[in-house]
Amino acid sequence: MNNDAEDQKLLNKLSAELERLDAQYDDIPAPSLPAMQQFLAAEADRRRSQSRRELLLFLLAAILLLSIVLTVLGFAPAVYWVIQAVIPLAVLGGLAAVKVRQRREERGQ
Amino acid sequence: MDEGTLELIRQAQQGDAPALAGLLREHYNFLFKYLIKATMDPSLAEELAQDTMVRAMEKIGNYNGTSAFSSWLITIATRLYIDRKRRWKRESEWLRRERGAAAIRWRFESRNMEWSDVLDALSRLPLPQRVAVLLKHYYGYSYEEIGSIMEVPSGTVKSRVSKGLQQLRKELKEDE
Repeated sequence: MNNDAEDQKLLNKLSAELERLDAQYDDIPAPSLPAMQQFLAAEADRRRSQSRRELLLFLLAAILLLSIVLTVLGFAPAVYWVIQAVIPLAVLGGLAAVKVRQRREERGQ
Repeated sequence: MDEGTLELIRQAQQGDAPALAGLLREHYNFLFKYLIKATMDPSLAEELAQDTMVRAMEKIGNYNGTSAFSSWLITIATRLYIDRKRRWKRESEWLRRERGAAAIRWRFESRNMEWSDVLDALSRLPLPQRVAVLLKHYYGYSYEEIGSIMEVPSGTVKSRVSKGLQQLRKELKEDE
C-alpha cells in the first residue's frame, strides 16, 4: 500500500475518533447567560483593581529610583556614569540569553 | 457568520456587556471542544476556555471580522495554550499530560465505550504537531491560516503536520 493511501486511512480514522471524542462532551452545558455576565463583570473588576495596584507600585518604584539617582548624581557623579553603562549592558545580555533559550526550547519541541 | 452573531459582535464592540456575554456563551461549547482535542486534558481545557473568554473580552474591539469569530477564538486559545506551555517545567508537563489523557479515558470507560489507540497516540504528540494536525485535518484550515494562528511560517506548519502524521503512524504500527 503506498504512503498516500496509508495517510488517507489514518486521517479517516483520526477524524472518526475525534468526532467520537467530541460526542463525549456534547452534554457539557455552556454557562448560563447570567453566570457568564457575572464572570465577565467580576473579571473586569479584578483587572481594573490589578492595573490600579500595578500603576501605584510603578509610581512608587519610579519615585524611589529617581530619588536614588538624584542622590548618587549629587554626591558621586562618577558612580552614576558607571551605572549608566553597566545596566543597559546587563539588560541586553539578559535579553540575548532569553532569546537563545527560547530558540533551543522551540528546536527541542 | 449569521446576522444575529454580527449584530451581537457590533453591540459587544460598543461596550454592551450582555451582548458580549451572549456572544461568548454562544461559542463556549465550540471553543471547549476544540480545547479538549488540542490539550487532551479536560480541566486544562476548561481553564483555557475561561482565559480565552477574558482575553476576548479585553480584545473584542480589535476583532475586525476578516476571519470567522470562532476562528478568532481558536487563535486566542491556541496562543494562550502555547504561552502557558512555555512556562511549565518538563516534569510537571509529563504528569499533566498523563492526568489529562486519563480523565478523557475515564469518560469513555464510564460510558462503556472503548478507548481509542489513535486518541492515545494523538495525546502523546508534542503540542505544536498535535495542534497543527488538528487544525489542518479536523477543522480544515489551510497551512497559511494555521501559520497565522500559531504565529509561525506556513512551511513550519507543513513540516509539523507531516511529522505529526508520521509519528502517529509509527505509534499505531507499534501498537499493532
